[in-house]
Amino acid sequence: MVLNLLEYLVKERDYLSSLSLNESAWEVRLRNASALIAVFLEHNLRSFIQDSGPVVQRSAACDKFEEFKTQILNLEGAAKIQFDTRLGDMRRALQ
Amino acid sequence: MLQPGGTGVQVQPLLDKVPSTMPKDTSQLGTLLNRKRRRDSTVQFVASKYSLQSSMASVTTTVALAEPSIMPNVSLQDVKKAALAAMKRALFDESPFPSPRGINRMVKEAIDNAAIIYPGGVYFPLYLYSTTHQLPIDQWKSHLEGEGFARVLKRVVGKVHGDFNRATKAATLLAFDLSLRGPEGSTREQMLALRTYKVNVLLSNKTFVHSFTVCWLY
Repeated sequence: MVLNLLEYLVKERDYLSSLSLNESAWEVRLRNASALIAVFLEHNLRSFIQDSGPVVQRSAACDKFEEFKTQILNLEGAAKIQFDTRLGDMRRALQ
Repeated sequence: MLQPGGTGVQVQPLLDKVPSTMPKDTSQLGTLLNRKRRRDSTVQFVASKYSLQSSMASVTTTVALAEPSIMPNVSLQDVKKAALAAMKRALFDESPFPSPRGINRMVKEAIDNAAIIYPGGVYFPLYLYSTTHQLPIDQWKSHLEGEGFARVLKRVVGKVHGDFNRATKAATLLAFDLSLRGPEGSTREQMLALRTYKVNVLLSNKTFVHSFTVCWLY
């Protein structure tokens, strides 16, 4: 889900083209973008069950971002392999 | 016009051509050169030292001039584009939820780094007054146009959030099947209750998190 959305932003919207994925920091950037997507996914899920409004509070969102970033970094086994593979595919597609 | 040269170039004939309104003191030649450089953007000085023979002092004086900048053919739009990209990169390199102080730092670094990548620095045209008037980056940043562009960079944070929010909003509805549908004859209240149940399950067991690698959309 997160990676599909990331692919959508990368390929369809050409959104991340200015992130210079040729640089050594490409992996960090794509992982952080994935964590950001997860933040808004949860935010939008919560908006279905409560009137959370369109605004994401910075401090809460920042905590959520760090939480998701940690989860992505700690992926294991097949999930990690699949995640890394698709990030690599995205990077190659942008080169 | 001065031509590039190394140490020991005799420039006495040039000193004779200096207008009478300008001082002929060789110690002020650097200032004169800087003024000339700002007036004529096509002039490029490469030499760093000139040996000047002063007829006034009748002695040979060596004046070390600061290494002149080579003015590149860079437009303001190029620098702005590079700064916008640098701002976006900073958000994804560090945190997409920076503090107000962090945003100010990112903006400053984005502009500075955009100028640094061009050797010799960048001189910005000051459109508000004249197409030929140019300012060094530090002065441009504190000018109205520079401050306006800083505000544009600050808005990049909100724009990124808005883009990600919009992209995930539509996907959330489709991917997790949260549209208001239910068994035939269901009331709206029942469908809302079903959706609330689904969302609570997703949030409680973090299914949506575990779906990092699951293809839901395609």
